[in-house]
Amino acid sequence: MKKILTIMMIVMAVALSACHQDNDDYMTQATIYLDGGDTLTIKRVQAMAQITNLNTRHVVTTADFDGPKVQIELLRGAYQVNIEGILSYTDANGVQSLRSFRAISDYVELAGAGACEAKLNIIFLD
Amino acid sequence: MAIDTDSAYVYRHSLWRHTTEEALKNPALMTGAYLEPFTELSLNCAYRHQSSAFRLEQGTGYLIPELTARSYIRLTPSSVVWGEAGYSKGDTYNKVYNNVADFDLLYPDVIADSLGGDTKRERYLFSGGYATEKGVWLLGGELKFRAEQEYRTYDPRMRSVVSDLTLKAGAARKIGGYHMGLSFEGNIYRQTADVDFYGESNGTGELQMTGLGTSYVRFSGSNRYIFYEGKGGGVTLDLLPVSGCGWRAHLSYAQHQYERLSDEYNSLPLTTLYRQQLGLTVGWEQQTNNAEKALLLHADYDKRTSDEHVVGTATGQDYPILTDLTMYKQHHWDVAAETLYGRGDWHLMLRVGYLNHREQYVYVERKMEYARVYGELTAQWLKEVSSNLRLNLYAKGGYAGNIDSKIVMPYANMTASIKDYVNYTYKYQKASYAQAQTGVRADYQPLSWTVGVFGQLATAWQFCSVGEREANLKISLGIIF
Amino acid sequence: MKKNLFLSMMLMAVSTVFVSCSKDDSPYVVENGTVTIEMPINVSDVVLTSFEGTATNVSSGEITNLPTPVKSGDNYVITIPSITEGKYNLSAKGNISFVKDGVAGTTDFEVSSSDVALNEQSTAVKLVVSSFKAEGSFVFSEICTTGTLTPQNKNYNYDAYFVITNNSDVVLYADSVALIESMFQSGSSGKQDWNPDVRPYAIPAGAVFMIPGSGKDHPVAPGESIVIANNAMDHRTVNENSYDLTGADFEVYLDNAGNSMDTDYDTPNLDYYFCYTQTIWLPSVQQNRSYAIARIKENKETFLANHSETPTYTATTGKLMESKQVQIPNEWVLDAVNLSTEDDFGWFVISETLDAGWVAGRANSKDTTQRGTAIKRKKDSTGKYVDTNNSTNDMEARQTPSMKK
Repeated sequence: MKKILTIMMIVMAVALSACHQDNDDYMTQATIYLDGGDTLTIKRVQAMAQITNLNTRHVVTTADFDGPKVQIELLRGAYQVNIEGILSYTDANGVQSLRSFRAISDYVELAGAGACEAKLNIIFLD
Repeated sequence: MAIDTDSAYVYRHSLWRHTTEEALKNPALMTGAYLEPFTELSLNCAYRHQSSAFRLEQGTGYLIPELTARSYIRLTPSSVVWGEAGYSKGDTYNKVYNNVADFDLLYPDVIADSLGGDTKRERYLFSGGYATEKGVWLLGGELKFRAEQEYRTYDPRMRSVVSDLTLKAGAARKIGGYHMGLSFEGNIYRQTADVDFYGESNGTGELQMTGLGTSYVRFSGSNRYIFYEGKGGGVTLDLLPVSGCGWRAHLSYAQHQYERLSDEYNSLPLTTLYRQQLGLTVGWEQQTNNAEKALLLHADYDKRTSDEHVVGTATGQDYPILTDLTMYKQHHWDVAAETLYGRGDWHLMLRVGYLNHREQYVYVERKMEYARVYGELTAQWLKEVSSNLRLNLYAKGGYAGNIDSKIVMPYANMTASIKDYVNYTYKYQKASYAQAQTGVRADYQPLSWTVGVFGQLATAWQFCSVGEREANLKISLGIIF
Repeated sequence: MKKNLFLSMMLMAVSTVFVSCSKDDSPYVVENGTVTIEMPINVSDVVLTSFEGTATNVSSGEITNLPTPVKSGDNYVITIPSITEGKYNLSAKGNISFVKDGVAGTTDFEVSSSDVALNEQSTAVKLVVSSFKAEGSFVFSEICTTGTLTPQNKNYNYDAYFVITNNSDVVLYADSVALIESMFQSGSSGKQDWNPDVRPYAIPAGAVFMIPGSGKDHPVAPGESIVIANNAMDHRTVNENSYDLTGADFEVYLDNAGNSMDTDYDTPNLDYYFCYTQTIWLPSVQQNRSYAIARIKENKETFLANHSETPTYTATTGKLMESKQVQIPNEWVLDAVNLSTEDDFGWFVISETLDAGWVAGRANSKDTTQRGTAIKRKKDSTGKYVDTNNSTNDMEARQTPSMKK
């Protein structure tokens, strides 16, 4: 009797341990950097970043730029990023300029567990 | 002989069978399933009509005629063989947001649209098993196969083809006055689900639903050919008294997964549904010469989760999967107590329980929850009118009252049609239901006949607190020998 | 024993009912949550003149009106006294006034942000108004100084006019915008070695007439224009082939106490700042002077005191030649167009940074075919005027004058 009970307990334990674990790692802290090239040092960015999840088409917006980068918590996945606004920078000679810019990418992978990064190139509009 | 036949008849039809239903899932325990062998051939017709769909995805009713054959044969005093075959072909009405067969198995990972319509359903069922007694050991095996086709003859033309195979193997051992059983089950499942539009202007997009009104937007639209690959297994443990007096326990665990893949995207897996079912029954039963009583406590837990495969950008025909996220979760609890009491021709069963259902979509958060307390009372009268004619009459009444409900939805970001869909579903989930059922079966076999005939008429009603109702009718005619 | 067992089992069943019941916490209320509206950094003196904003709770649909923003540094901050935690769709619209390149302007704005979380951990939200591009400014869309021919084939030179258009997306104010004619002419004979050569930092100007106003008196909507006529009369009464300029917004009137031979018509006058002639001014019929518009940043007295250098050069005869003129600093200039005859472009009479090319208004000094035509600025596919600061690319000569009826 005892033997049978033990066997049964083991069987149940094995069965339960084969349980599918939920994949609970949903969010990632994404940092998006604006890259103006080696010659530019970006001082201040004033722009609205529109981040669209490619699979769900859910749009998240943020304007919280800290220098050339913006941090936002996102659902892990692939995104389209669209940033448009004004930024101030100093060039290699130390001359400060204020210009309109756009930075877009149709595919950015922001799927790393915990934190991830992406870099976008700047196109000046004037 | 009459008494034997009578006992066999009672054994086969009595409400008391309810106590052994769960244990009979173990094929090894089928050796004692029936007192006498029998074969039954019947023609049935089932009809349901709801004044307004209680569940949009299942439609407002059906009309399904069916031909079934069931048999239980004793090969030797210590071994039995049983089998069932069936063919049905019928119609289901007004299914919306559901373009697959086996919705109950696969939801929420279905392909759907808001148009819907009537469907035609055809099903072949075959099952067979063998069990034998060797000393203190019982051994058995069973095979079940189902092939089903469901389709619609106008736009949106859905067409699903299902094949479902289950294999079971079980063993039991006699220990003292009890049987202790263990069985294993394995299942393979396949379904192809296509939706076509013949009219150019009717080409609305198909949604790949992912739970609580959400859909996998990127692969919804023109993606209309999907297929499911499923597999799973389960194990059951049983303890039952040999004599009919004593403790009874049943523990079952099953795990299934169903992967939804897209034909048009190079067999890309979109979502995988995981289902875990845990059931526990503990009880006590006693049979004496004039009475039988039992008390059973049930606890059932059903967990359903859907993993979305987050797809990256394609290089050629290859779509990489970036990660899997469990976006949809559902927990369903059903805890109940059942008492059965039988004396002479009468049986009474009372079931009182609590049911709790919680569904959640993780981001952007959606929740739908409800809890009910329910009670059901069934009365059965098995009457031998004469030596040729036996009657089985039953009536059942019940009420499931809602005690708690909750909904969280990002309404501001939902389209009007999905908002209506979700609110409609919730309206029926948080409602209370009253049910009433009654039926009669008559078996007629004069002593001179080798074959008996039977007829069955059953009706069932459900009344929903939102003001709608459901009517069911089932008619069967058949022969038995 | 059995009875007790029975009872205890029932109790167990019943107790699970109560254990499974969930308790709802009452939702957290965010006190003094802030929404910061960041104003565009590429314009100055931004003032929020009107505002309307809402926060819509995504789950419940409840709409909270946002209170009026309060200026805090360069931005505006809205403090919401209390709001239930949750996800919100924010939307704000209003009107701001600002100063860009010295020109005052106003614009409507609309910003929104969806699914913004307001809860215990996140009580501050930011919205950025950069949804309008403060690009573009006033430009010359038409320069019509060719004069006309009378039916008797005589020259008629009094019907010159200029059209200045707001080529941006925002309302700009034309107050203090001045019409300027270059002192020097672009033919080779006009080229001299003036000292000092003011062109690197200013326009050597022969005529400066300014649109009056206190700063917000003359708004020009995006795409709209102002017509400045030399003489705002219906010239068709004296010359059939000419134009009716009574509809002009401003006219040039030499208001110099007695010496003027100019007629003051009903149309509002431009403020007279400077002109090389005291009697009557005729814009370049020869098509060899440059025209510019600039935002005057000083009052008349201060301007004349600070910007009235007199460049000189020594002629071959030995005589010291003087140019009595005023200078318009290049930073004040909004638009400039170089005109020349096709056969004789001698030099750039203003800095090449203001206009790197020139438009041929006339074939040669004997040409009369250009009379009755105008120089117009090209438009791009979006309907905006092309302004690459190069008149060779941007302007087209011999177009039909817009005032021709």
